Order: sequence, then C-alpha cells, then structure tokens
Amino acid sequence: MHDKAIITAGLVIFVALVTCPFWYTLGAGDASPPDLELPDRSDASLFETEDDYHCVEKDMAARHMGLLNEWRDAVVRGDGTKQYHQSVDFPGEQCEMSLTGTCMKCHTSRETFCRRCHEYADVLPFELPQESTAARRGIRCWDCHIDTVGD
Amino acid sequence: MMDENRRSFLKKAGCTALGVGCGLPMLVAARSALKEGSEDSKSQWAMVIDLRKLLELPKAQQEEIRKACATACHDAHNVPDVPDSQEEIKWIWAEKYEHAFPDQFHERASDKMKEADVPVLCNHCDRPSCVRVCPTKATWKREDGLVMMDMHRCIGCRYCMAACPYGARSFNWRDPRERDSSSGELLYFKEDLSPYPARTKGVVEKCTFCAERIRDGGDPKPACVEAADEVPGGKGILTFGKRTGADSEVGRKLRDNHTTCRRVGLGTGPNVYYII
Repeated sequence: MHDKAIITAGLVIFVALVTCPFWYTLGAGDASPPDLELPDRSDASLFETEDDYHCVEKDMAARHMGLLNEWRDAVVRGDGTKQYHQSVDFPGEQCEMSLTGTCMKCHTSRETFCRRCHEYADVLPFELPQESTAARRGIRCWDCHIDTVGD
Repeated sequence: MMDENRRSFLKKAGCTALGVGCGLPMLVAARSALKEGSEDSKSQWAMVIDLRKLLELPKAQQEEIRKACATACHDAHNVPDVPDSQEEIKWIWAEKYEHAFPDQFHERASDKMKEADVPVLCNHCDRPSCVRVCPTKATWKREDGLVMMDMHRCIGCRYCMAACPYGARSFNWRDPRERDSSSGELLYFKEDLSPYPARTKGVVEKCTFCAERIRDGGDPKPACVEAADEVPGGKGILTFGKRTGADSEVGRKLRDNHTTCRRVGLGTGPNVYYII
C-alpha cells in the first residue's frame, strides 16, 4: 500500500488522456452544426406543390450516400436508357436519377450545401493529397461531375 | 403381361437417346437463330466513314472536317487538351493511312492514299480486347454494343490501353482540371466546361459513341457526325446508327459499298467501317 500516490497520478493521467478529445473540442471554440442553406423555394421546379415542398425522400442527410451510390450504379452500369427513382417515402413520385440534373436543380450551391456539412463532419469521401485540386474541392464527386452553377 | 425382351428394350432406349441427343442441340440452335433475327432494339451501334468521299475533297476542306469532328467531340465531353504528345488525350483524331490500316498498306498504294489522314476513334468492337483484360470490369460491352467505361471503378492499370490494337484509349496522367498555380487559369480546359462529367487523374478514357445522346433517345447523332454534317461538303461522310434493321442507314451503306475495318485480321470485330 505504498504506491497510492503513483497509482492515483497514473489514473489521473489516464483519465485525462482518454478524455482529451472532449477537452480539445471544447477548447476549440464553437462546435455547433453548420447552417445548411436549403434550396431557395422559388427556384425549385421539382417536387413542389403549393403547400408541400420536399426532397425525393425523407431524411436525406442520413440517406443521400446510399441513394447516390444506387443511382450511380443504375445509371452508369444500366442498359443506357434514362433511369428513374421511384420515391419510397412519397409514393407515386419519381425523378430522373441524375446528380447534376436532379439534385443540383434545387441544391444549387455545393459550397454552402454539400461542403459546409462535409467539412463540419470531416467526411471527405475518397480524400486525396492536400495539394491536389480535388482535395481543395473536398468532395470527390465534384472532381468529375460538373457543377453547372459555378465552379 | 410384358412382351418386352431385353433386346427390344435396348433398341428403343438407344433410339430415344439418339433422338434426344440430336434434337435438343437443334432446338437450342433454332431458338438462338430466331433470337438473332429479332435483335433490332438491342443491335449494335455502328459508324460508317465514307473515306472515298472525304478524300475527294480539297485538302483544306478535309482538314476542316476532321478538325470540326475532334473539336465538337472534345468540347462536348470535356476532353482535356494536353499539349505534351506523350500525355495527350484523344477520343477522335486523324491517323495516316499506313498507320490506320497497317495490314492493307503497301508500297504501290496511290499517293492519295499514302497522304490520306484517316479519322479514327474507338471501334466499339464485337469482341473487345480491352474488356477481356480489364481486371475490375470498369470497361464492359453493353447490350446495345457500346464499349462503356465506369470511371468510378477504373483503377488506372492501363491494361486496356495495352490490349487495344487501335490506340483508342488515353490515360489521364494529370488532373485534367488542374489550374495554373499563379494565374489560377485552367491548364487544359477552356473556362466554359460542358455539363458532361470530366475525368480525374488516373483513369483511362475513350470515345463512347456519345452514350449520353443515345440515352436521350430519338435518332441519336454523335457530336462528330453532327459536326461533320455541318461543314460544307461534309454531309454524309460520317453515318451513325444501328448496324442491322430494315431502315438502318448504316446497314444500307454496308450493303451497297465495299467497306473495310481497321485490322480486321485481329478478330476484334470493329464497328467503325470505312468506305474505300
């Protein structure tokens, strides 16, 4: 029972080390989620009725990655015809599977929409070396797909 | 009461086996023959290049047509203009006759042919060697005959480039959307990009017979065909369409003219035909 001080000190250091990510984040300042600029309703041509205005499915923040993967496979590896997404959450509605043709019609700014959230969450799919232009763009879809609104 | 003896049983069994053995393969063959007859909607897209007509035009006009085709294609598909010939990227370009048709060229060929610049592009072969070697199935033969590429899946191994006997594939050695570090200008593109997805560093690309136009349906005309038709005297030099079918212009030209393909002997079955 002579090592009480050493054990206590060790424990304190251990707890401090384990919890340091939390302290670091707290110390780093404001960590509130970014403001996402949702599409300007007046510009939208899709999925809009007077009192109902929505995306192709609900809860897209959690689902867009799976949906985009499905669309990609269906369009790129399909039979070459136009592919349509049948909405699950909004039965009867459909849209063409197209990143720039469908998504970007409403979500016109990838800087304020895609990027702001992806940077906050530090999710940069297929991250490339820092010096590449692609890394500066952040999200790799935009390495190839042309943002028709601004680039 | 069985009046069957072993001998007659074996005879009948033998006949049955023979009948089934011969009949089934014939049925299968007949079925596939019927299928082939009705291949219209799925049938192969093809192109006919009227080299005879092209070479009759004055040199300057020929050049204008070839340039118009390449420019229209490369602008429509955001093909980067890399000045270094080792790293250049091309979907449609011109090749000297002896290089385009090395197995048909001979010393006594006419001067006109020796000097000819032949427009060449991906042949969308029936039996594409690039597809056979691709380790990730990033390139494959679609049902309608297009040799397609999936840039999401290409790992840049360049086997397909080694396999293609026509040099139709180009590798992106650098980021095509690279900007000059000081001026910030795009190095290989004009500022007004077309909406067609560009490529990234490390993937292989080539002509797609304008798959994006085929997707839109109607009577698709690739950018090169459209551009050639618009140049005075260029109308009809490039024809695009289904290879077979009653009202196929390509089919008609193939029936009515003597045509050849590039490097027929290799057995890849090219689908760009040249009237010579």
